[in-house]
Amino acid sequence: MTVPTVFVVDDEDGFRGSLSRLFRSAGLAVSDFASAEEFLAAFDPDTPGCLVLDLAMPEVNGIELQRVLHEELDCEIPIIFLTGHAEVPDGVAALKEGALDFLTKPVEPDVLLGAVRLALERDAECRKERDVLRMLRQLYETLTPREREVMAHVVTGQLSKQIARDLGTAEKTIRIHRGQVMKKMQADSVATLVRMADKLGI
Amino acid sequence: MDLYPINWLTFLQGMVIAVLLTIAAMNLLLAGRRGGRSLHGHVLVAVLALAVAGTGVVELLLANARSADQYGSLLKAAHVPIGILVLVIPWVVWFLFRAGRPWLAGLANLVWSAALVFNLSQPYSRVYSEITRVERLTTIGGSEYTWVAGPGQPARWVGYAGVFLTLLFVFDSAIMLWRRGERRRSMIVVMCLGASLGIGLFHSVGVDIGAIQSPYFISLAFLIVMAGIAYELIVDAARAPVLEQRVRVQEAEVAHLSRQSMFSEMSVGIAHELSQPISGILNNAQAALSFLDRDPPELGEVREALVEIAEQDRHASDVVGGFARVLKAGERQSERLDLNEVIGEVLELARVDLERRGVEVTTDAAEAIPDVRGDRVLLSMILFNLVRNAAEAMSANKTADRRLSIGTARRDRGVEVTVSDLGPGIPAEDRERIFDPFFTTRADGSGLGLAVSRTLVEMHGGKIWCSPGPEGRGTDMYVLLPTADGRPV
Repeated sequence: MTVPTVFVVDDEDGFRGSLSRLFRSAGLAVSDFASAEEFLAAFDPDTPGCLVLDLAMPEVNGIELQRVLHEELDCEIPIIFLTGHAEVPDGVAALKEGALDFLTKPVEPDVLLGAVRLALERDAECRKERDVLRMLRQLYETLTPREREVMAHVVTGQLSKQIARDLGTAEKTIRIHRGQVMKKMQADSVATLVRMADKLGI
Repeated sequence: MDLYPINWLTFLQGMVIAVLLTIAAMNLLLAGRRGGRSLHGHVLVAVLALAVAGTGVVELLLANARSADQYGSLLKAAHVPIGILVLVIPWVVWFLFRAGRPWLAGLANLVWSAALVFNLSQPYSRVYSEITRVERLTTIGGSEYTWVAGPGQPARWVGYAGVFLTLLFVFDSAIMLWRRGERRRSMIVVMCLGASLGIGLFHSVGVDIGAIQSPYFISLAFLIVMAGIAYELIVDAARAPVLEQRVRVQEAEVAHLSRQSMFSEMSVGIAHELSQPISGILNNAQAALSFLDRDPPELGEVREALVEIAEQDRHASDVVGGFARVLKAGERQSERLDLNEVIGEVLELARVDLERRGVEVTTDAAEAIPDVRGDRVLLSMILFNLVRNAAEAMSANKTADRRLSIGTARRDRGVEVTVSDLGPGIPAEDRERIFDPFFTTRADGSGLGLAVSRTLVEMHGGKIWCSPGPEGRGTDMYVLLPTADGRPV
């Protein structure tokens, strides 16, 4: 697995350098960019990490980059905004769009490092969640249409007899489908299956 | 001239003359002291008062004339002050109130002048071709006065026509003023002037043709309106120093408040400008400490961090130094300034910010522009503010398109500074509103920068305005300031 990386995007060379150095000194992998375009050209959404983003930049600013990442790339990398002076409406917009934090320069290095560490943890958790979900989807894909129907009924707590009546078939057939569902979904109990269905949004 | 014994009529005439001479003297004194816009008014009123006083003197002498020849030459002489009076009245109205039709005034003057020339060529004035009777009559109060009669000049009606045209001009301008909505002071003055002229005209005609038996009293008819006009002008003059004092106090207050608000605007700029290097220094110091704590310490990284710290510290010093240079003038208020020099300082001050924003600056300074008079700090702040606005307006432009130009030019009425940007421009409906307090299009704007700038520019006797740039791109901001020796623009 790739090392989590702190991506720094800031148009101010000196300040960007100081951020990189700070993160490197804390033992983190850093990759820095002078503009949103540079970052987008090099960025691979599959790389774990977080983004430390300057709000006020020429051409594409921080908020716009956030929007591109969310809406066009469907990427949920955690974002920490840095700004020269607190533009409150921009801050609200950024947080509404799901920014993790909004820090005003000059920012205490410890606070910044704390925010970055939290962001990396959050990213790792999200990625784990996403991996689990992806696996569940793959398992669900293997079910036949009939098995999916049966599963939908099972997770509402219905007994095989009731399901058989609802679907207009024999209880025995339902039992077989039910066994197949539990096996394919790798669920050890109905309770587990219910949680899986919940995650899959069934 | 040998006068009859004093009676109340002579006494009254003497008093009227004295009052009119006083009014004339006061207005001449004020004209000398105040100058400027009120100069014309005071001089015209003084001329008017002198003419009416002269008329009064001749009226006094006419009432005391002893022979037909004497009366005739006095009546001729009377046309000098009356002549001036009738010639000047339309121009008083014109200069004081900007009302009336100048061509009508010209026509009245022309006809009246013809009558005056004719008057000089006649032995018994333009009124009588001969004086056949000279009598002493008694007025209501029992005063005696000289009264004459004789065949009239057929051409005397030309003179009456001239006065009548003048009267027409006055009433016409009164109607104009009424329509214009200036119904109070100017109306009263003009109407009274017309009434005096009308009464004077019809009474004199009556006396001339023998229909009214009475001494002439044109000067009396004019006394009231003269006193009215003089009162207005003198009250004005008396109030002026008080008002000037009040304005000066208010200007001082505005200057003080503006200073404060400009300082706070600039402080936001400084804070923003300094937060960058200070933040950087903090990060580098923290990083250096961490690298030192490693086992073994990574001295190469520590060294790099220290070099970077020094670099950012220098940058911070530049920022602080720039502001200090502009602020060092401190409380010094008014001095002669070369605007090109002020612009140089302002650009130096904004340099860091402009570089950071990637804005390219071109200057177009006119050579040998005259000095302006003003407060160095306030003017610098105004220009700094304009430069910052221009730079900010281009933040969404492509880097190659962020060009700001600032220039000076000599104008008739002063020195003009132009700050142009290539930003999105200002919509026509906002072009006046941008100078209103609290009007802003920026999330972090106080909306005070341009409002305060306008107040400050006007306090310097100047003007500030904006227009779309060439080909409708961007915005040109103009500041016009009077030269150090000139008048407000």
